[in-house]
Amino acid sequence: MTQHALDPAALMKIKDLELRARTIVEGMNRGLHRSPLHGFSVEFTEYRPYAIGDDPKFLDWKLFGRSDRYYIKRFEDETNLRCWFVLDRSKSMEYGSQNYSKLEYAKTLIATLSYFLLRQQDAVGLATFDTELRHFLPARFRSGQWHHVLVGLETRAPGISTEFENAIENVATLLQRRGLVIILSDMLTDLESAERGLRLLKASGHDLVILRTLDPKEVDFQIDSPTWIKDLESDQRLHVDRDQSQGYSDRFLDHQRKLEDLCRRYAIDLFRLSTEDRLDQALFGVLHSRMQRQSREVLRQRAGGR
Amino acid sequence: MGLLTPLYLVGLAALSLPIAFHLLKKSIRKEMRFSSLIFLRQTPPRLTRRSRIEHWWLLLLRALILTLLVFAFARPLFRSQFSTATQTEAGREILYLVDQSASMQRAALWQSAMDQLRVLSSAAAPQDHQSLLVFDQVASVVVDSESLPDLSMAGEAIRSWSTESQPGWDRDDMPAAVQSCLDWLVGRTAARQTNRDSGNRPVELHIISDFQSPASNTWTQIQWPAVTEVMMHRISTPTIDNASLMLLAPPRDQEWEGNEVSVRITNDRLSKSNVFTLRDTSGEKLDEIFVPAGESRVVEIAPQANPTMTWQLDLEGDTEAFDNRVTLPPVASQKVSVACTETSETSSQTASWMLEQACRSLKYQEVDWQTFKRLDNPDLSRFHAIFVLRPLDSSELEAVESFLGQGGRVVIGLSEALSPTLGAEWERVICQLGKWAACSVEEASVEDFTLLSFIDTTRKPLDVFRSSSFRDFTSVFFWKHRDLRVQESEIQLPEARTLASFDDEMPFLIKRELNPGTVFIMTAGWTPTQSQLGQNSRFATLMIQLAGLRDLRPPIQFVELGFSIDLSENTGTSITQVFDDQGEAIASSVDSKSWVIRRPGLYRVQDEGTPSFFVAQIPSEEREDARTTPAELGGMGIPKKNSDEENRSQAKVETRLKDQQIESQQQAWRWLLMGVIALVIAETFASGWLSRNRVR
Repeated sequence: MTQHALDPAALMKIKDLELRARTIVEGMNRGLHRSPLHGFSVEFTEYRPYAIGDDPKFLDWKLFGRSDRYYIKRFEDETNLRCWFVLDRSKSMEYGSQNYSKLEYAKTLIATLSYFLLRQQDAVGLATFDTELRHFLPARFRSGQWHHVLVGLETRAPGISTEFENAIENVATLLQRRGLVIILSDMLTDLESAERGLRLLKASGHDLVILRTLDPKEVDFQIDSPTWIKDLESDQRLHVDRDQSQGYSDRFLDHQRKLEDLCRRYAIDLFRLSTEDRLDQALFGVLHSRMQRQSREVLRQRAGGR
Repeated sequence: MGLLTPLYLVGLAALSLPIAFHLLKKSIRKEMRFSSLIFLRQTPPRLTRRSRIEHWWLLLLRALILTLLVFAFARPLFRSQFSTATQTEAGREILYLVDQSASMQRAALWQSAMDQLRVLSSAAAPQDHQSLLVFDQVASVVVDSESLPDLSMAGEAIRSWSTESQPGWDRDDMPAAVQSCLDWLVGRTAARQTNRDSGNRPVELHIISDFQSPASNTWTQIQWPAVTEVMMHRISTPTIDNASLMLLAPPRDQEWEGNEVSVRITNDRLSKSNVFTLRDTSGEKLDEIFVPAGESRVVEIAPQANPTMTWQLDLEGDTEAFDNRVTLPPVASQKVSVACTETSETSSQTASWMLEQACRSLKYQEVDWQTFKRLDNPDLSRFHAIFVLRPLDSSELEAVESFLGQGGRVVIGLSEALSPTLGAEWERVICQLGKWAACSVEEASVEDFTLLSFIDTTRKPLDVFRSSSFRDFTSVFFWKHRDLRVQESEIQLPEARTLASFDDEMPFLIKRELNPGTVFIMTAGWTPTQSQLGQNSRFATLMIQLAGLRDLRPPIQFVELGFSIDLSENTGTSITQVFDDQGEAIASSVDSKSWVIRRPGLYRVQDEGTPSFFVAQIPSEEREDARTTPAELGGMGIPKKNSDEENRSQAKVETRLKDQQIESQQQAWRWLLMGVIALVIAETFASGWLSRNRVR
């Protein structure tokens, strides 16, 4: 069986994160040429009927030529996008049933996305956390920012357990301006604690996206014999019989549902990524669903505006 | 079958390892690291029936390997084929030699010995020949198996005897007893062989004793029959608490005078008590004595005067009562008559009055004191002594000479200062009574005072002053005394002895043995005008000795147990009887010519004359607690068997050596190791096959 060039199993063999990210972006670019979705980073424009006093330079003459009506072309946000990647570096992220861990997968995603965004001249920042905030890189658009991001990703942090509330609270205090906050975590944590942290970020006016990175084994837990399971974060040991799979699945889905409810309540985009998914497709999936959502919001706002 | 090193069997605990391994192998399979446990629930490891019986044959194989290995290390041996069969069809010759000496009188000791005897006797096989001998100084046969019609009757006879018997009172001599026992055995065996009986039987000699006798070299001189095995059963009391009371005999050249007695209280070295009480017959407390363990004290006790009853002295304070009593003869209050001539003195303290007071100071004797103006009238034969304090005339001298001829005592006291006429009269009296050819009496010239410089305490009657504390007469000053010089006649008489003399070398006291009769002459007075003698405490003793008042008591002989009293010696027509301390006649010359003392106590031998007394006491060595352990006899060449408690460790060593020899010959461990190797190979193949099947 031949592997696709952007298959994570093949891609992760590239030890250099930078090269890995460039490879993915190049592959994506080839796809983008055929894609109708051009430039998601440009926040959308809107039209409104011309009113006396409006600057005539914002008149859309092309639309006037098609519809014979005066419309003002309006930009929602004049500035470029500010995006922060918040990476969960707890021990649980080091788990991987493949040849690579969830952390490696998430780091590749961040490197790829940040490269992509910086090429679109958006500002990119980085925060990593486990029990507390371990590393913070302010969102900037400048030459060399990508390398700072890569260095931040490669910095080895102690990484113990996840203290979502505490870490996100720290992040929230550091993010002075509103922007897009992309959280990469397995979210294998107490949801009540996570909710308090997310609510704080949301209250600060940030647009939140959670890329829930999971190993396929975490989704579909299977053991063929009684096994001692050792927790990566706490080193606690648990004897588990093989008939636990169904119970695990039920409890995992229940947790997933609760997480989805939570995200729905706070208008957070939640994407579940499996580490065996191709990175470009995963990115496409994320971008696609986000674009769709943004389109729906524009239409809703327009409908609301009328 | 036995094991040389059974401690290695502890290694069997290792069997739990393969069992646990087999049981847990299925439950604890592997460990897996996982990102989170929040969706997992604990399920305890389960030991299912299936997992337990899975590969049981492999488990058995592994357990067998371990078991064989452990047993190989424990070095097994099989004794049965090597052990020598000592039990023969003819049975054993079992001799019980029971100590019956006085030391076995201790509380519960005899009972323990009898219990031991019964246990041994009951444990004997029906075909064994059991005989019982008892011993003190020699052994004597009680039960002889060969004199009984049936072997089983011997055991019954021994057990029956054990319920009725009592210990004796004599000292023991265990080596001599063992030798006499063996001599008896050898003699019997010889007789049996001449009767064409079966051959020699293995002999077991069981000595049941408290091992009172000290270990002596005489053990090494005993000739042991070749097959004899000696088993020593030491009987001991759980606690040792014994003090003994012993009557002390007077020194050899003295007679026991019955006034005060000396008793020795000896406390055993292991005794717990140390305060003891002495009580007399009536239970009255006489004294309380502290005697530390291992020491002894001598106490002087004054017996009460009682002419009819014997006098018992009991010691209280220890738990062993067998040696706590001594019995003394009745102390008679006898009446003695003493005559004295009157003196012409007028003072209150006349010489005769002072003599009377001195003689009346006797504690146990009533003194009939009579003073006479003249000595020719009364019947002098009833008097024991006559004090002559003035010159006698010729008729009086005849009467006194007659008294002397009957064996009487006459004490002449020159107690007054002499005038020339008085001196001549005294010379006549002294020459006649003392049977001297000539004598001269003069008043000695004394400057200031004189002292006694010589006292012959080696002879009677002044031997009472032998003790250094009594010998000191330096506090007695003599202001005046007489100078007496005598000349021996041609009559063959023992030479007069000067028993005491002054520092001017003039005699103070002269003794003249007349055979019969004795004359004492004192050359100084005792009244205060003459000397300080009458005021001295020794005066009464001196005068009593001169009058011979103490010699009137019956003598007592100290004898050992086993002493034979000859009853035929004094028998003419009269009957001689022996009475015990209770006053009961226990032997008579009518029945036998002699009687042997077997029990300690006081015995009175009475014939027509004065009674004689014999005191027999428990031998002193029997009073002490055991001094010999069977282990101490180990080096004496005694063929001991490993049945005794003290020999058990030695027996263990011997058994172990024997086992080592058997084991080194058998070497069963080699076979076990070979089995282990074979099983290990089998296990390896089996495990390999199993794992290969599992992989498929």
